[in-house]
Amino acid sequence: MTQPETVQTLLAELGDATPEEVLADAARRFAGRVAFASSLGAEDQVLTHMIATAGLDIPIFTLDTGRLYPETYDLLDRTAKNYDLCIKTYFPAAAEVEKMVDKDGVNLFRDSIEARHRCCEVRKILPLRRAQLELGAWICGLRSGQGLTRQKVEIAEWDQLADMVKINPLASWDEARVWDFIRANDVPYNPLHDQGFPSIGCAPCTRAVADGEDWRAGRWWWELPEHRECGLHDRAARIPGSAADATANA
Amino acid sequence: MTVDEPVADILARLQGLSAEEILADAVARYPGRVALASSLSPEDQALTHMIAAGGLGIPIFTLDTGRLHPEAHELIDRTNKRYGFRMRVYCPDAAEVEQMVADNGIDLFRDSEFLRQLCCETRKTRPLRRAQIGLDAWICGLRGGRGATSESVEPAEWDSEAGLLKLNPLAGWDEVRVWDYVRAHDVPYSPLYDQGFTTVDCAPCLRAGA
Repeated sequence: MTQPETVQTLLAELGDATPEEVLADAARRFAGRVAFASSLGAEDQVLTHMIATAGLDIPIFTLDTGRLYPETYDLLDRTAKNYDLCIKTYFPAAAEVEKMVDKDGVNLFRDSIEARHRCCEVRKILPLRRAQLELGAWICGLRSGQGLTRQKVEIAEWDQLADMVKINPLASWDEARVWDFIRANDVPYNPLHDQGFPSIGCAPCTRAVADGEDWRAGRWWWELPEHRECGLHDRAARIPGSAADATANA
Repeated sequence: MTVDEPVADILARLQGLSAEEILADAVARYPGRVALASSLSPEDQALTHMIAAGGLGIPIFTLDTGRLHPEAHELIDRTNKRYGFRMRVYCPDAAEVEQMVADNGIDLFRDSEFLRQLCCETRKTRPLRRAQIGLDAWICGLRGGRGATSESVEPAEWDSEAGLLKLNPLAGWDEVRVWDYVRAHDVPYSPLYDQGFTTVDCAPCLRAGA
């Protein structure tokens, strides 16, 4: 089966499936070749809860960029203990971080969008690629409506950069549904969410947002809204009407 | 090459010298083979200021354990900009951190003293050893009267674990003198000190003092 056909099949077969059903299907369909990439965000904690309570054979990993909030590390610890899980962490390569910091400084991400992308590349994308070796599919907590770059998210997508299927079991959930689930099931979550942080990444590149601001307004807030992705999800090209979108559809 | 001068002779020679003079002596005696290991404490920041202001050209490095307070990185950045240099940053080995965390959890240091030391070893000591390759002497901001483990500090001591001479130019200083110096020279320091912290290190292993 070709790659886009795999995605078409998934979309056709899982159109109305619940997130739990999507996860169970992924564990069967990609047995031994699927993993869940958790950023420890609210959506990801929902998926961790579903995977753990159903006892699904889906390994969970997270990317420890070395610049996370203390609260995020504590959440990682609490989550692993709460569900008696091993959440595998991937850490950036010392030589690459040292070379980058030596050349461009420890806070290079404030200097230009290129420098910011380089930092995301070294601290997130390269460790992610290492985590993805040997996978046929990866699972994410993306959902529609997570800000400008994530207006429309499908349950299954072809991830061109990773060269594999990406499964988003919560694609159709909205924020209220995520929080209802967290409260109903007493899922551990990052206390920063209660302090105005809807989307939490590296500490120096995240801030709280005001009421009514875009969901990802607190990520790389000094950049243009359509740039507020680390590159891990390749969403810029998916903003309807964007220059990148026009190129993609040309 | 290592330092063959007996520590007692070095101590005799350094007696009565100011911190700046000890630094100048170090760079003259061990050119290209001495560096300041900065933890970004006010003591280390004072030494950084002396090195920069004196144009001593002593390299400065710090250890980014991966669990530093976000404020620590801001301070590295501010310090680099203030003095127009870039301190070297040494990071732990990815495979070692990943293995340690997979085996023992991300906050293993809370579970036992052994695991706390394993964490320090992986995130601090090994990167420090890498930073020390090629050195004859390393400089620290240790001073006397800083708690049970560093009660008495001499300006020079033999570091048998590193196999290097260790120089503590602020050995004779007390806390008041450090802060007087920091304020008088407008030396950048971590805002955490203004929030009650008396030492700044990995975030999860610290809390504000009374």
